[in-house]
Amino acid sequence: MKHRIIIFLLLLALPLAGLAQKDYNIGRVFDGRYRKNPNVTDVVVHGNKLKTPYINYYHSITVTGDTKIMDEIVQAFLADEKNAVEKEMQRTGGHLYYGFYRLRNYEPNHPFVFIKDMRYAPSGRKPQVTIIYMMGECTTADIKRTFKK
Amino acid sequence: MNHNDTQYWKMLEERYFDGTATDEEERLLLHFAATTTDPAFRELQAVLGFVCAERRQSKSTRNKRRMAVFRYAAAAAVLLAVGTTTILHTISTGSFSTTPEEDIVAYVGGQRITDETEIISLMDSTLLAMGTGTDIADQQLQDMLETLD
Repeated sequence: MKHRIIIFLLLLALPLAGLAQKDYNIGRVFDGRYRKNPNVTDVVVHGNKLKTPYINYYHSITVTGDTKIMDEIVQAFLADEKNAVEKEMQRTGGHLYYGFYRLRNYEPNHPFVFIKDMRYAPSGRKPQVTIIYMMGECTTADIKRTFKK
Repeated sequence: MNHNDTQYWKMLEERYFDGTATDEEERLLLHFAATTTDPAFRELQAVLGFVCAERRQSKSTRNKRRMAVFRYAAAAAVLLAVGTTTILHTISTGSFSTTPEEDIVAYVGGQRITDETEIISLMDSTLLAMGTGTDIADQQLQDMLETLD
């Protein structure tokens, strides 16, 4: 009996260990790997440092001029589209210019991801990609309001 | 009673083999058998030696089983703890980082920045830049809705 309980616990623990990092491709983008790159601006703000009460985590990465990293970020964003609960995409000539989605959430926090690839902007093009990951106990409309302040 | 008397030990030996020896008598007999060189007690030494070896073996086997169960339980507990902690960390902080993050930090061109005013300014300008794309998406949606009306 003791052995069965222990084996059960082991089997229970294994999937849990993998669940957190899950299969979110953007996890690889936001794990800090680009911080030492001279073409990258990586900003993290969370907790009570954020002015907006319903957002509890903000992380953005802006890459300028490094095509390899820009493409990596865009590919990671697109790869997670299947995990999206809500999404909006705007393309120019078949290339993603602007994208947003809300990922499958762990209540009460909702994860949101926004991306903009200025290489394909309708106007004012430049070699720059920005991706923002935010979490908050809020709706999509609430999150978008933060952009318009 | 003289414990150097062979007759005494022979009497104890007889009581041991009869199964009438007390625990204390058995203990004394065991000690005697371990130290005597009298050939009259060779049979006793052989029997007591076998009994002791069996007791040691049994105890060792029990201990080995206990250690194995303990190791499995410890492994299960560690896996469960790691998995749960990782999930709680991701759920509560939103962070994909594999190392502890500060509440507010930025990396610009590889340089670490901790000035909060500067970091909040970076965050605000990134949100503003992202909001322009959001406006366009919203405007297009609005245009489509008006057309339907």
